[in-house]
Amino acid sequence: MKEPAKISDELLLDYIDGNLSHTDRLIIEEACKHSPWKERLKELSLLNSSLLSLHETWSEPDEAFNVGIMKNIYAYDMAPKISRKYIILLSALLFTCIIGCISLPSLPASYINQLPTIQYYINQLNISALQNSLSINIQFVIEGSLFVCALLSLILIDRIILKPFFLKRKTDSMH
Amino acid sequence: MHKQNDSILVNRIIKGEQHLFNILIDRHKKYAFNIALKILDNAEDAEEVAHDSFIKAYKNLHKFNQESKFSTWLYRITFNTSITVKRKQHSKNEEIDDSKHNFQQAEVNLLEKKDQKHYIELALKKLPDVDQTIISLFYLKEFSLEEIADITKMEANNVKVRLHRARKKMATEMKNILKGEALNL
Repeated sequence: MKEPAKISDELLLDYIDGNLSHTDRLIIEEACKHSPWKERLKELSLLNSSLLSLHETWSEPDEAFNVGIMKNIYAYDMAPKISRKYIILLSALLFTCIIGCISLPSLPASYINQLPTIQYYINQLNISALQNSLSINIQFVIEGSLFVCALLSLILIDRIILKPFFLKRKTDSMH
Repeated sequence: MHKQNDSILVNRIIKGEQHLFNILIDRHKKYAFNIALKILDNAEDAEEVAHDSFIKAYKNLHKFNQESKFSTWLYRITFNTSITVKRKQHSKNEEIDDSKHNFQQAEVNLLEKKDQKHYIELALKKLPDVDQTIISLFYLKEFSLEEIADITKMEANNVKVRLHRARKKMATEMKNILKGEALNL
């Protein structure tokens, strides 16, 4: 008889799992002809067979389980996706608006009239009468651009942040 | 075969045939639900976790590295979500959970006193959550130790040690339970 000291629960479990070599299996089989390993192997084998059939009693989730998931998936696919390029565009627009709003009031009132390049061409063309109207137009263009930027920013905030947020909240509450 | 089918389905879903995800749900819902149930010990919570896991899986399907099986990946999501939910529940209301568990246990005890599977379930419930999951996955006979290690984020050797230890503990536990039952008769 091979010495029973070599046998352990771990070895018996490996034997049950079929992870042992032929020689090791023979050693185990020999040792398990006698107590205490005979009883221990029986116990562990019984446990093993019970565990093997354990998942047969596993229950299934509710009938509506698939429907719930698929509903959420369709809602997710319908929701507008936040694109990185829109985020960059929104950031650029907001940045322009903020810089414009901060710097515009701090500019001297005559600044636009003193733009050297424009002044130079106006002088060259000798159409001084147009100076004032031109300066008003430039100011108007700057303010108009800022207004358009702000408008676009608001639209983008609505489309890429608020709409997806509320849609997600609606989906979550459905779930 | 199963793996190939799953990966073909995954590719088709990524390409836009989202209705096919229903097949994946059908195929894996039972196991996902029961993995969560083993950890959470509450059918409602387990169903919610399984539900969330499928949705998370769908949202991240394009990130799924198809070197592993879809089921391994999905069960890992389920396992992690269950552990997170369990931790939240523990920190929220430990006392309520305990009383609920004892009530359920007592109720089951009355109904299935003679059932051997019931004793196995009892012994299994005495194990830590991770060990319960390892035992459940191992006895599905669908996953290798390496795949179980992947799901539970452990080393394969560690999984093997825990599996042996858990079974030894269960054998002792079952002995004690049966002894106790015999004394009650």
